[in-house]
Amino acid sequence: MNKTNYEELLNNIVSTGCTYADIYKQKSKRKIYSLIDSKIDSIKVLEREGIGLRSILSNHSKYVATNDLSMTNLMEKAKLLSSYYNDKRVIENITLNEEIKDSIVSAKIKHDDYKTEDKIKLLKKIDELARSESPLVSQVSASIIEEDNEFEIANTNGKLIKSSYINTRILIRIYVKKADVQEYIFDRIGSAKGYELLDEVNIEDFVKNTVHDAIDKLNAITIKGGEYPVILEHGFGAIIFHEACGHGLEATHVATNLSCFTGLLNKQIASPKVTLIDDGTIKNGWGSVNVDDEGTISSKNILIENGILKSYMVDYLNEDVMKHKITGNSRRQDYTYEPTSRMTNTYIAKGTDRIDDMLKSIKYGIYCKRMGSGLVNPTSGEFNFSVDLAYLIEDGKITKPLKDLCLIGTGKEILERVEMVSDDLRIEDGYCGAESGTIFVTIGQPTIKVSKMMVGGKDE
Amino acid sequence: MNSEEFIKLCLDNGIENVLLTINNVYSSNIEMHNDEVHKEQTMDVTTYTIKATYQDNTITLNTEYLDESLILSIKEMAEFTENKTLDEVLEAREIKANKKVKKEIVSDFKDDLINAYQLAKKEPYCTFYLQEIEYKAVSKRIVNSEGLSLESNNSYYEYGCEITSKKDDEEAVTDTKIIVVKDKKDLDVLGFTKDIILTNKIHLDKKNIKSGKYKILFREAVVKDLISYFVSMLNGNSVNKGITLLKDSLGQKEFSDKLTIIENPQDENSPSTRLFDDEGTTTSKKELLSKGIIKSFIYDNKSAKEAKKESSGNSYNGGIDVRNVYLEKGNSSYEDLIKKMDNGIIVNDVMVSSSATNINTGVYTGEISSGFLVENGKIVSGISNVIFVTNLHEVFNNVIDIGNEIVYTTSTIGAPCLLVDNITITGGVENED
Repeated sequence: MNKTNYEELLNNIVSTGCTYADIYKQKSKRKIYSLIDSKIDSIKVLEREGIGLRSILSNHSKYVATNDLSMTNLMEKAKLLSSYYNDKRVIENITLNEEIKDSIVSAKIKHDDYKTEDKIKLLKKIDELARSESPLVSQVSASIIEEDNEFEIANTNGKLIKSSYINTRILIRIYVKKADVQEYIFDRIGSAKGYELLDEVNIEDFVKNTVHDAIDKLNAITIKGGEYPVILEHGFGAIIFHEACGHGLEATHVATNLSCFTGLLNKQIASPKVTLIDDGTIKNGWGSVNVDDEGTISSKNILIENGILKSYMVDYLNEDVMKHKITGNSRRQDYTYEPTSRMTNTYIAKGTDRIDDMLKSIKYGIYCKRMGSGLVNPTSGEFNFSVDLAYLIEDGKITKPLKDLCLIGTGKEILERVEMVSDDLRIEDGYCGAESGTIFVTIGQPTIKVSKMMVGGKDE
Repeated sequence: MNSEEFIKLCLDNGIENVLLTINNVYSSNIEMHNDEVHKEQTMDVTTYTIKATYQDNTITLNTEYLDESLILSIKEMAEFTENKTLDEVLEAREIKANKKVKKEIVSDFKDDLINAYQLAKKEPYCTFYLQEIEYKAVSKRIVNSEGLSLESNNSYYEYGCEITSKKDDEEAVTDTKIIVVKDKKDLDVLGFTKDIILTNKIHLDKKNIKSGKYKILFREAVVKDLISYFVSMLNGNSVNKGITLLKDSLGQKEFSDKLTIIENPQDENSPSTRLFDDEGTTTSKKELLSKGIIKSFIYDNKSAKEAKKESSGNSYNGGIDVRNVYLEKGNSSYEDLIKKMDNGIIVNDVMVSSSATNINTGVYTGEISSGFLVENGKIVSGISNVIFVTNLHEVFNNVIDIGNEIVYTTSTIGAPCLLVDNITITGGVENED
């Protein structure tokens, strides 16, 4: 595809009256090296190449995805889009200006430059470390995931942007067994960079900590359900804010009045302790983007400042209807998905409280160390998520490990109940699945105390 | 490069036994917001799954294009994988292809969707009605270096609606329902809308309940999730690695004898028909669970070899999966089941995050996102703030009765309602003790 091809397609799409059109062309490769039973079990490869064409009129869109990249087929698809409208052309002849954007996400050691033998050695080292840490370790599963994506975006604003992203991730799942009971803990390290990632992490600590937590889970007890004060450990604990309010601040839900945060801009929606930021510009951040999937440069957006709602996350489709500036949050899994407003690197800013003081303030409560995944209904704000490993707090001290916990609540409720925020901010990598597919996001927070939460449990 | 040229290229590079699955997925989709078409999408994508043998090791690679660069990947994968497997050569054989699928656009449903919205709009508290309809057509063709050529086609319609209502200053309440049908004439959009309106009306008057053990009537969409969870425990890879709770259960009675779960990919009347799996193994009807006894694990070629068994024809999309699985229905209507329950909870929908299930332990925890309280055989209100903490064995062993209608809420798994006893619930009302 060259500049002239893009111009020809765009000019064709807008010939019947739509007010905006864009084209997203992607070529990507995902490679997964997996170890189980102390052996390299598989190397999986997924190669993709395709294109998505979109037209917009008012805040309604039409979208076509195909991976037949012949110009004959693409012109047919462009004509299909233009056939949805029946009016005079409103956009003048489109001439594109080419730009390359690669300042935020790039690699020093590219995936193909790191030897396969060394990737295998790394997986075997993880296996050996885990098995030598405890005789209770019954199985180790470890993977390296490499993602390389090159893409081009052409739109009726005259942009033809070429960019790429690279993501590298190491996943481990450590199984421990005692008598007939087997449990596991999952953990990961990931960044939007190449194998230079390995220079910044301590694999030994990463594996050992996971083994010790898996053993704690093996010895964990259940707890009776009810309301408890809860401490959420720094890092992935922030999934609660990702679910409870992040999704509700995406234009997809706000523009249709379906978010519980619609119409609350500049209103106090959270405890003054809460400042929530979405920042797609963190250098090599797992959720960072050089440019979003509509060609907008990513930015740092303060969503909630000292409890006051300051911004939503807005894409091109919803800009007019929301009368809100575009924030560089338009994202998608791949070309088969139409982009929409999504999070990037989202975190609660540091506070000034001390973890010791948080613990001392709790007579009987729960310390959540490892969160599982969660779900939200952005309309009601109701969320729930599972806790992979938690501990009981008794008289201000962390005591027994707990398992099989589920936390529920609503976004508004938990934002108001944030009582203490420490200064140990930690950001971790994850995936988020929603309307435009599964994307890379980071979530983060310092350690936080929530005055009370509804906890599902089972007293045995 | 076409498939024949690519197979030749592989053979020229010392790669043998090349099996190519050519998968074309076409979909047409409309999303309505109230009475306006918000989004209209079409997708037409061809993907390839390559199975090939190099240095006595058979590997699988997924790609959307065929070119020379894949040769290097195939060799690297085969060379460095230690858990080696060697697929047998599939000789050319005849399987009669089923009917070809059309690539149609779903715009002729627009009037039905607008009429459905007119119904929802009459409800005083309804603030938003979202509907989505999708037509999906999938064609699979398998060719190999031995002249094998197989074809299997399938299509279905998926309709989903979501109603949101808000009463005064209370929080908004949303209910969602999905149905998958093979034939357009089986899609009753208006009937479905009436059903979701009624569900939402009851849900709107929701109250907190006490914690305790309850009888629960799981609706079809939730039973589908439970079956999917059960099926994941039968995965041959997980069985071989010893990481599923059911690893030693083949032939054992694990669950209530009221439960029989069947897979029938050959059934042309169910939504996910497949005549053969992605490795060319002919599919067949089989019992996964018969009267509570585990009857089969599910395997692809690699996991079957490792277990010294035959593939069960369950290789799909690079992993192990199922097509047209259903729980055998019982004799009781939904209304009969409510009467039989007498006092308890109907669970229409749940929010269960992926990490709230674990095939090692069978744990199943989550929140009831839409449910009703039943007293003396009648629905009396909606419920809110309810968490369940249970496990697959508890649910599948405490079965009282099964509904008499199988509904597909996803293309691969169909389910009737399931009435079970003795499930632990954490409610939002403090117990007096």
